[in-house]
Amino acid sequence: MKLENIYPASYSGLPGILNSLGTILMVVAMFFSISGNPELGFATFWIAWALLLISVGKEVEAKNGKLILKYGFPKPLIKIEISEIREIADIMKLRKGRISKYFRQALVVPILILILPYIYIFAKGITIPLRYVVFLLLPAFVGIMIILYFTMTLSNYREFLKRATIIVAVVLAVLLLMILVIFRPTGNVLLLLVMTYLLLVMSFALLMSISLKRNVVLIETGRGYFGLICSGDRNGTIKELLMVMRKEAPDKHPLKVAQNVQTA
Amino acid sequence: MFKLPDRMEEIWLLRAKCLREVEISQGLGISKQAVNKALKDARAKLFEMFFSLAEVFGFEVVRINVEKGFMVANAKIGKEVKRVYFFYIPKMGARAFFEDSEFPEYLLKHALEIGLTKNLNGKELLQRVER
Repeated sequence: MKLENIYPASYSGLPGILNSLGTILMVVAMFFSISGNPELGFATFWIAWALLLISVGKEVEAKNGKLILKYGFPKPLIKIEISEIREIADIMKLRKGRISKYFRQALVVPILILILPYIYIFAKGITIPLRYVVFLLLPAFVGIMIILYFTMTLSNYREFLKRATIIVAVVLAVLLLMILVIFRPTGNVLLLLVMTYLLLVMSFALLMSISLKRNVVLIETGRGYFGLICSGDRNGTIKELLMVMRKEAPDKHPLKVAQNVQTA
Repeated sequence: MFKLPDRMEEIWLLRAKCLREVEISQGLGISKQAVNKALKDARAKLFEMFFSLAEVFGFEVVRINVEKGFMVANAKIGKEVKRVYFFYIPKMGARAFFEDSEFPEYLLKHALEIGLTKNLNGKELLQRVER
């Protein structure tokens, strides 16, 4: 039985490792390319892509007393015995719930996004013209926003997004105006600057809507924590999971017995 | 009343106090397999117990922890949404408390006993179940 609108998260276990490794290799590929080894860089780039693709959560299926978490990898990577589950929690609805408390590994990717472009610029010794400085903010912005999403509680993150959207929109507008006045860019440069500005402001709005529509459900077993991302009915995720657990629990299991009593 | 059978409850409580399965089996003089089975059944019964309570009262489940025996849920009262906390207390069964109510001493003592809190403090208990 497939669970609707519920997907496995690549926050922990083998998918988490593959995801982080894919991101790291992506950066290594970049360094190979800079250091005069473009062939090796090209090969590493494709390996990184493959790792990222196989670590993407595809679907969650309940079968024979197990929750099967399927990723891009051809075979199911994680099987959770329903009778082994000790905790189910909607992290986004807990007042002090933070994703990073349970899935520290998830911070690897945004931290890399945040720091690596600057390391790249520093390593290659690239001098960025002042008029392109807005572009430099993009990786830092994306990295910081994802890190905050993982480390803040949902209510704090929403409040932060509301205020930050206004502040970022105003600061960037002033910065853009200054660049336009001082450097008087024309043609493509002007277009790129305006587009970057719009992209940053729209990213805020997008993050806002994502944070409102998606929630992260934690499953704890004796083997550790597993994450599920739910994009459907935010109020019914745990209920749906519990219903499935009831239905798919092994025979003579108290959950199954309870279901049979209710059906009768 | 929602309650676990006595022997099962005894084993569950020892595990909630962070004793390992092998320690429980040695302490009670039963096999490790028997402890493992009792714990599996206790967890399933607690899941069923909390879920049934949420269904009966129409509460939205936010968290169920069957290792320590508690549930966090949202109750819609009129237009207001209030937090309700359910705890499984040995010999008493499941007990519910609204967020603005005082936690009784027996609950705080139980929370301290199973390591949910470090002091007899209601605020600490709330913080522990909400993170």
